[in-house]
Amino acid sequence: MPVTDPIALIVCSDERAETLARVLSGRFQVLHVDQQRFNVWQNDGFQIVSDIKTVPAKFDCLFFHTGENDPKHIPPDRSYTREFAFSGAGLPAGKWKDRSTALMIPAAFVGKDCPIRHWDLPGIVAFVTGATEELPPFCVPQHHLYANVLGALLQGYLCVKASESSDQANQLKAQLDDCGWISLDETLRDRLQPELAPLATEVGLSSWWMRSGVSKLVEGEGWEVLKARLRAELNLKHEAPLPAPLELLLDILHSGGIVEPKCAAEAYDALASGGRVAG
Amino acid sequence: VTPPRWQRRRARFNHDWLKNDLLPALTTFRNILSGAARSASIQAHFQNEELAAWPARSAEARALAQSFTNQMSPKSLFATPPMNGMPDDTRKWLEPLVHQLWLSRTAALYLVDNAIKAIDEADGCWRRLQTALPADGAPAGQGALPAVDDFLGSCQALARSFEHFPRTVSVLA
Repeated sequence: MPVTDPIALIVCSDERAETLARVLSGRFQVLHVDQQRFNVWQNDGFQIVSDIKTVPAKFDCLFFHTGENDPKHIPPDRSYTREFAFSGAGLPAGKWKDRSTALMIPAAFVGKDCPIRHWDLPGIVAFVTGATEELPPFCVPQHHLYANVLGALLQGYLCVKASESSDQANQLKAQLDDCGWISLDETLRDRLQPELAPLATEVGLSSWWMRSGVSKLVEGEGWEVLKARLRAELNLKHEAPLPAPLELLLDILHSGGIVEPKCAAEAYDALASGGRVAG
Repeated sequence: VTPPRWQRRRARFNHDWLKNDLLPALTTFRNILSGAARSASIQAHFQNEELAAWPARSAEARALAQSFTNQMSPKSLFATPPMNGMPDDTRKWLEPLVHQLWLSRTAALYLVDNAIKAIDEADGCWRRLQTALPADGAPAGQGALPAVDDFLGSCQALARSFEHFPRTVSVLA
């Protein structure tokens, strides 16, 4: 087993092993252990390792599922530079039983909805190889990534539209007040308006939203996963639908349509009221 | 997205040192001066070692408070995926706008100001305590109690001021 990438071991007895392996394989050589039998991730699937001697004694990282007796299958005769624990409900900060150095992943890992994304890989590699002490973002609780990205774009959109005309500014007054535009220092606002006003057409285009961050949120995972994650960040119950204005905004972006001020205003209200993160 | 560095620095200063090191030691020192407890070695160590650490710790607290609006602003979202891949022509106006809106609608600047004032107050109390203690390092007497109480109160207020800072980066807060 020639290895140049860092090596990860996954211990999980259900489909999440494959979901995680698919993500990690972008930067890791990935192995999986299934009741003392090692498998290696190759050609988008796990293949049994025929010669156990080729399995390394030291792994750069271990990802293990904390439930269903899975931790019992963590090979005790191997060592792990960094350990990460995950579960279907997410894990609170603290120590996990006898694996006291394991880092808890606070976000839920359900089915194919993996809390680790492809863009996390460079950070994981840097962390497990000791190049940095900075925790990968998925280990940090209250990581409202999706709400924050949409929130930033909505704020930008609203301020641009308000700069375009005073009529628009009046129609969007409640949202502009909520996001801080109205209370902005007047001199600063007067300076910003001529810079923002010419962007009014551009920010209405789906393509602006996509290239400003949304396409990366969707990349490789799809719109339904994005909606599911946004629901989770807004603390909506599993079956509860996303608020209709947010659903509408995302559908417009998906279909390549035009984002109208009313749509953005209602989406911002839904996001700000549901996704407000306490300090 | 949450820059753990600022939060770690706050935890090291406020939780680990101020609340769990200095304040208990200061309370013990006060008990010794008032006669409720007795330990010459603890008193000497506190007077000559722990109190001497204050100027460096005060500077650390000041730097921490002053870096809050830079490190905990939602503009830090633009340094991490997916927003770090945003085209420059959008980033150049959206990043400062999101920062200014955050400053405008939240208590960020007030919290910094509040913490700086608490540091100034604690600095003043520390200086008064220094003058109330014997210059030759000899054990202090009950006469130093009012200055100890003032310094203790100002350190408790400082700890509270750092507790008020938010723990997460959010565009929507």
